[in-house]
Amino acid sequence: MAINITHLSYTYANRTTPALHDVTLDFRPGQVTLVVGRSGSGKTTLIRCINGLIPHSYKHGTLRGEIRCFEQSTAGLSLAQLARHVGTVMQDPDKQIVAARVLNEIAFGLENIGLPREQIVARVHEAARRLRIEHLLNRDTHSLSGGEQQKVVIAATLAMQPRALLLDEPLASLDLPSARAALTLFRQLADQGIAVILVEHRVTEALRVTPEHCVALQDGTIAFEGDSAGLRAWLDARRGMQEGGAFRRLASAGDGAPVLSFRDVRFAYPGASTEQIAGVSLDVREGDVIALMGPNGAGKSTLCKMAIGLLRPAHGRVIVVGEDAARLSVAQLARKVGYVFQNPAAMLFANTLREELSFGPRNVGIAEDRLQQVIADALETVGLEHLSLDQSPFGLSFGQQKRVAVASVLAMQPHVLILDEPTAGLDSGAAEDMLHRLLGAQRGPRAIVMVTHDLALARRFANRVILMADGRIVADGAPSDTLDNPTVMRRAGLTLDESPTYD
Amino acid sequence: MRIESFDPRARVTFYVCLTTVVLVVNDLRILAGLALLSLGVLIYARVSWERMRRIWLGAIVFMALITALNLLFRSPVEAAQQAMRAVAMAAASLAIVLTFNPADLGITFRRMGFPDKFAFALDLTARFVPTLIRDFKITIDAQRARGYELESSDRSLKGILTVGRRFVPLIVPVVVRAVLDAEDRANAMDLRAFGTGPRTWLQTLHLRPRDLMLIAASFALLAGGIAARLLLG
Repeated sequence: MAINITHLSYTYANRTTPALHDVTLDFRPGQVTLVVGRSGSGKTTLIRCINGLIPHSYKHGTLRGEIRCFEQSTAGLSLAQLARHVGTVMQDPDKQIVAARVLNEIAFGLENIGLPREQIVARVHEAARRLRIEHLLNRDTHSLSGGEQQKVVIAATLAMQPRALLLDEPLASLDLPSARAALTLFRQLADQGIAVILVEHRVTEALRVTPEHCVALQDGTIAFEGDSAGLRAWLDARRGMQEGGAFRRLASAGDGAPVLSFRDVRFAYPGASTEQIAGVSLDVREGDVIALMGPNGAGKSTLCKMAIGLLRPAHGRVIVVGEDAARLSVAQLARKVGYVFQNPAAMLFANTLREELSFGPRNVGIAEDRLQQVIADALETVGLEHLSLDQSPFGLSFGQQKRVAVASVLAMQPHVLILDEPTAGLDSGAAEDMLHRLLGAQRGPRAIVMVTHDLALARRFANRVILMADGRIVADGAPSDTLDNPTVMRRAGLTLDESPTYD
Repeated sequence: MRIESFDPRARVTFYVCLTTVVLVVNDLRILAGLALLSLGVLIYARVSWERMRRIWLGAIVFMALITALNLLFRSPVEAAQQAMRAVAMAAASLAIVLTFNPADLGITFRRMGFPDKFAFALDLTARFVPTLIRDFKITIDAQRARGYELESSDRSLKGILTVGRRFVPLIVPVVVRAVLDAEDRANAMDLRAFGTGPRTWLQTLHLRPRDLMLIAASFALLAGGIAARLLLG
């Protein structure tokens, strides 16, 4: 047995309900264990208990039960001793990288345990070779892409030669090809004898590696334990129960007048040898719910930033609700196009929700006597109407902060709403609930563009899927015409998703 | 032979000695010599004008302000002294800082006798300056997308204070994010056994004869500077 958990319960300091309650699990070498569950179900707490952060770094909570790691109780092991057995890859690789150069990053843990230099060099090169990132060894870490960062973090973890590998939502920041490459690697590592414990919201993707052992957590307890087929059946049964209230699309999807148009738009970043946007023309029409998809670097975010004037095209025109964007400032365009950034932490700044939600509407000139109403409408749309306007946005959970970020842009009453990765960091239930409400809102935006890697989201909510690759549109059509068309998907650098979705 | 080819410890020693002498000495002729020496080092460092332009513009504004205040409230000699000091400090700082490989920061200070944790804190700083700059740019974009405009046409004191207050939506998200992310980073470091015992540093540094000569010259400069201060006042 690699890791053996018996009657584990943990309650964080200053909380009354336990984050984990009476959990008993075994993780075996050579197996992939998939752990699923909604936000707050106890997945991250489970990982912290296994890797020793609980109780070593979270000292003030109450821990009961026992964890044995390769036949040793973890209670008597230091973090350094545990780190030799158990490697952890956290959700956001950017937060895990501590060295300025890739070589030093992979060597970091080995330096800390005081290995001789020759061994460090050998292990660093071996880990880099395994991940096929030898060419990155002398790069600055801040210049890496999300996929490259993820590989570096995994290489740094593998260099410690762990016998168990904990992966906390490792696919969250990866596009589809990178996610699938990462999953293939996890499978290979398990096949080489490592116990792989994979916590993931992207269940459909994770099930591709046919995990031998699947666990679903719910409110800190085990709601399901079994194999992949069992998890599929369990999720199917739950979905059957939840899908009573079918989602209502915007009434006139795709039939209205254009509210945002791109006409032969081209753009290159300063110093870049190739165009990031290489001649894009498209209309976003009233009623459209568009999923804008493609691999990282395809130009999706660049295109959206041109819609709001954060970037200006080198050639071509952007037309926003009948007006040439070139003649309007970003502030003027913000009245017509709302842009919600992926991470709410990039924008939240105020002491109270009232101040936070008033910021945008005041900037775009919404009258003071209407502020209260637009804020109330926006909060209701994202399902946060129960929150007090006097509370701080910083005291909210990540999912609630994400909704506040959407509400703060909705309160500006834009014609078009652009959502950059609306499901990143959210569990599928929370993400779908927010989108259901947004699409059903009476006074919502006239069109929505979602930049996403999430195939399930595109299938369920979009009336149009636009696939981009190398700065060009390679397909624009209904989800069934794009996501189910192998030729089109291949052209966009994606692979056909032929399996049912469970996210 | 480029400035980067000197051992970073020799470069840091030279910089510390030079700036100490610049601060200690009052003799205008010596200060002028030190300013020329620093400018010479800057030329030798071959830092592109594009990288230095903004910093020099800021330094020139600062120098002009200091010189003007000294002219107004003290004497022309003191104004000239401060101007020379500012030129010497700016040129030496640019030459040393802009040619320093951030990845060498930690090992340099560790090999100069500082503890592991202090040395690695410097490495972390080098790692996170670009991250902070990136986060700041993202926040500027996110707030501009909410109709935020920093510019104010009001040039009065009230207008300047208003502009100051308007930085809050830019500063707060970056600071809050940095503080919250610090916990994750501390966890990531704990999980790779940081601070649990003596660590090996992968990089190695080697003092060659020319590095030793530079260090010796730096200490000679320091001794000369102190002597000049004692003898000439």
